[in-house]
Amino acid sequence: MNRNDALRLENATKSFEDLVVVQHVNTTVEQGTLTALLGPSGCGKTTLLRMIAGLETPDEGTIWLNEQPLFQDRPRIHVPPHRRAIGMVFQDYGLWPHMTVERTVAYPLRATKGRHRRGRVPSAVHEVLSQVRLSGLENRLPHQLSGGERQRVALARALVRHPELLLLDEPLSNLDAQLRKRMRSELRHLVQATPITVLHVTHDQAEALAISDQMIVMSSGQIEQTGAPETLYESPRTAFVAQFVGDANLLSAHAEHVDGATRLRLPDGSVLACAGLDVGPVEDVYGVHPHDVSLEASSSSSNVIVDRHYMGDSWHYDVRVGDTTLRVQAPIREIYDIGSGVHLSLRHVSRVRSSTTETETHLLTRPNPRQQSSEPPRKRRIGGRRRSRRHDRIRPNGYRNQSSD
Amino acid sequence: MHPRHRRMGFQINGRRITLVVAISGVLILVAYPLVQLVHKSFPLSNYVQQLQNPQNMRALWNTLYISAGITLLATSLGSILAFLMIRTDLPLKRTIRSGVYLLFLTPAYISGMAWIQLFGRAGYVTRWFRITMGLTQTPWDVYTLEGVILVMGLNMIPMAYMATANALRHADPTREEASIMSGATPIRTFFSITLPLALPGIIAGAFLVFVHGISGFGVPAMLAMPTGHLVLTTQIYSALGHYDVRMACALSVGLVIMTSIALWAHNVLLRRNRFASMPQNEQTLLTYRMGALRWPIALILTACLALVALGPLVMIGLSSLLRAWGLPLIGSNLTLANYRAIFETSVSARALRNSFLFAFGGASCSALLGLVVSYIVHRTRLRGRQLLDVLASAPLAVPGPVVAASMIFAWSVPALRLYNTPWIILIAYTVAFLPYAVRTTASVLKAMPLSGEEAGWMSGRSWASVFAGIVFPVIRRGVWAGWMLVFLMAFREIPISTMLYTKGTETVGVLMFILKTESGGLEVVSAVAVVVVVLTAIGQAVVGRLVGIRKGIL
Ligand SMILES: Nc1ncnc2c1ncn2[C@@H]1O[C@H](COP(=O)(O)OP(=O)(O)OP(=O)(O)O)[C@@H](O)[C@H]1O
Ligand SMILES: [Mg+2]
Repeated sequence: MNRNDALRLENATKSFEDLVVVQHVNTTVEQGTLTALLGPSGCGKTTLLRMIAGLETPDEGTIWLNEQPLFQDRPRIHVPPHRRAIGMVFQDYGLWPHMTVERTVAYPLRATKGRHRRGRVPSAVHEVLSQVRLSGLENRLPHQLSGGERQRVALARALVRHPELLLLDEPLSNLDAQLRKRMRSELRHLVQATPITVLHVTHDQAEALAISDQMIVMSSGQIEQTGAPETLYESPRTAFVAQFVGDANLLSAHAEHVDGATRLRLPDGSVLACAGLDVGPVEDVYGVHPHDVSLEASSSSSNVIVDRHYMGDSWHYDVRVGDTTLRVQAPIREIYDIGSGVHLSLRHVSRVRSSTTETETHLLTRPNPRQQSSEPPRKRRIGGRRRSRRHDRIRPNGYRNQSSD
Repeated sequence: MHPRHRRMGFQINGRRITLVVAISGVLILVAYPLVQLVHKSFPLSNYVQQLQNPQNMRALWNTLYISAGITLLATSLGSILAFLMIRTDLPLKRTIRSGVYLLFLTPAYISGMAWIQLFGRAGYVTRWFRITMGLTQTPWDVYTLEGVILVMGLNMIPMAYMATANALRHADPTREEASIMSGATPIRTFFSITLPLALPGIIAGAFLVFVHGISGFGVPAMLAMPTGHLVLTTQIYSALGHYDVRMACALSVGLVIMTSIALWAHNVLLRRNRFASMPQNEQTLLTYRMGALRWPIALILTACLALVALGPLVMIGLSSLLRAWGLPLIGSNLTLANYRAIFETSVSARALRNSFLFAFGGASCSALLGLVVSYIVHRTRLRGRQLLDVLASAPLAVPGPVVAASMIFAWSVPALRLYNTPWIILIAYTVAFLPYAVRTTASVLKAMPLSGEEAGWMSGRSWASVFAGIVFPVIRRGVWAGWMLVFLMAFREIPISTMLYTKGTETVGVLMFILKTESGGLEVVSAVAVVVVVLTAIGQAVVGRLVGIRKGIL
């Protein structure tokens, strides 16, 4: 374990009745960083966060916060949630309708009377209120506040005790796009200004990429990949990460070198030229970001534009290549009509290791994560023993499961 | 003229006729008797005179005393029970819920009868206690105001329970979790978050219990009147007994003012509750973990409920099987003769038949009137509909003895002499239970989207045809449920028929009130009580089926 790790989870598992919601999760969160926990709806993000908070008891595993065990299954240690130095901002804030802003923010201080002298209570409250720019609203009740103000009250309440760890469960999802952007940068600013460690749940990949130092991508109760945003974006380890984080096209293809150039041969025989792919001749799944495809008009090409969407700053084209449809993002000046032929070249391709054909097809047929995230969480049995081993193998070093060791 | 316009014109006329019929019906049935009552209570000097009567003052204080006691007892026990059931991980919840439901099914008067049979001067427990302890005196007395508080308070636990449970189901567990994450202990969280947020709902429930406390007639008449403890309802009964019209009217008006204030407070609290959130899933509400106390608490609760809910029913059941009341409870003394007797002897058979007919007629009239009233109130914009709503729910604030008194004054005038006929009981039942029919129908009507009806009109059907073909089939279950509720309340009701019956129109309530029949005493009345409880259980099950209340109630 790295000395700088504030939070460490080992083999954390939780199921509700027969539904395994979080399965053998191993991860660490570095001191003083903002880490995003990302994944589709229902993948267990909230459950994992609530286990760290102590609101949910894990079935097995260990959780440490700054070298102190918060939970351990054997011998049993379970620090009750109100004794953990953890602040939490809930998705719908959980504000108290009968308490003013000031009373709400002072509440955590009075809850730990021993540590704060009476005289200090108001000043600490006013400090944190000005930090979140709520000064002047002390005597308002929650229903007299706007959405963004409510959210900042919840943040102030979580911060006033100077917790070692701050947990945020999709705190921005109830805000409009403008406010969301502002709160994002405020959060970022907070982490830089104070020595706090933040774990931030979101299913918005753009948000996660924009503000976090580290990202943890979850799917079906397991961790798919952990790393810096650019690592996850550029070198996804699994097809799921490629698609969920980078919104990548996934191609099940055979890479081959011909005349010094690399090409991808798709199962139906179509061929795509690509640069920057440094792999031997191998059959695998490859991820291509929509903006890494360049288009060139070519009437002789059999690849045709089947659909297009104007995005304001770019064009999105759907291009049919053999049996597959590729999503392509092109500069705003590159205009092609539907039905016209284009020549494609791939500027950057990442190899997404997926060893069994069974999972390959499974992952390839996975619905678009954006659509998935708008669905209500579905009850389903998540994962099995076999799947978890596959994930162990592709997990980065240092985050390996105990079960496979 | 365009055909559609013609149709619209006709439709509005049809509605207007209905409105006129409904308003005049409600005015004659509800408003006219109350106006009579107020009229006969004047001049104001009469009130002063009644207040100077020390008996009335005692009755007033006693009423407030027992109502406060009942409210305190029922609300505290009911709320604690609801909290444990809704917000904690207590085991044995199904059993405990059944206990509360059993208590809900037992009319207060019948529990009172059972308590007398157990703890009265000759009660089974009293006798056993005296013999084992070698006492000549009974260490307790159920014929007191405290006895009334105990019987009625325990009986109203389900009412308080429902109010608190409803408030707690609308709690948002995230608020408690936010408190815990702020470092507050579960106990502090309970007192600073959970309790303050549920309090408006709990107090609203308390006001409802209070209303039922001051309106109660049967139990005070049985336990307090014999020993000279007066309450307002029994005072009205005695005033009518010796034709003191002015006293009966003044006390009735005073009683209605008190219940109206309490009901108003109840409504304000319910409506202004800005703390309520969406109703939550049962599982997510289990915020409080009882740990090692889970089983002890559950077992204690189960034992207490078994005593309070099951005990009286077992007593009534056993005594209904006794050859004669007071005999030892052993096999050779048990018989089914009492049941044969109540169906065969003329007075009790007549009472059963009368109660059935009155309840059936009253339920049908108030269900029909309730249907029309709630349709007008919730589905039209016709002027006067608010007045209709207020009038139709007014009887909620009118205790049974006052309904009876107002009926006597309204229907003994020469032109409308219905007093001493069966009709007056039928009308009284219709009036007294109309609000329950209106509310049940209104709740299903409000849940039905207006677009269903509008689509019917746009298909070119008349208002009446849309009502019969589209609206009624959808809300039918609510109407039947309202009918059933009124039937059950009317069948077991005591004060109205006790004050309005004459020879030949005796009811089940009258039999229970005088605690004897021509074929026997308590053992036969107990058999009648068993019939009432069984009928109530069946009826409530039907109501639950119809509108799915069973789960909602408890
Ligand atoms: N108390 C519970 N009882 C039963 N199942 C639960 C419970 N809490 C969560 N689940 C299930 O566990 C799974 C993961 O839930 P969780 O709330 O952790 O998802 P999430 O990743 O936070 O999703 P979202 O992005 O929609 O908030 C879901 O399938 C959910 O239905
Ligand atoms: Mg969630």
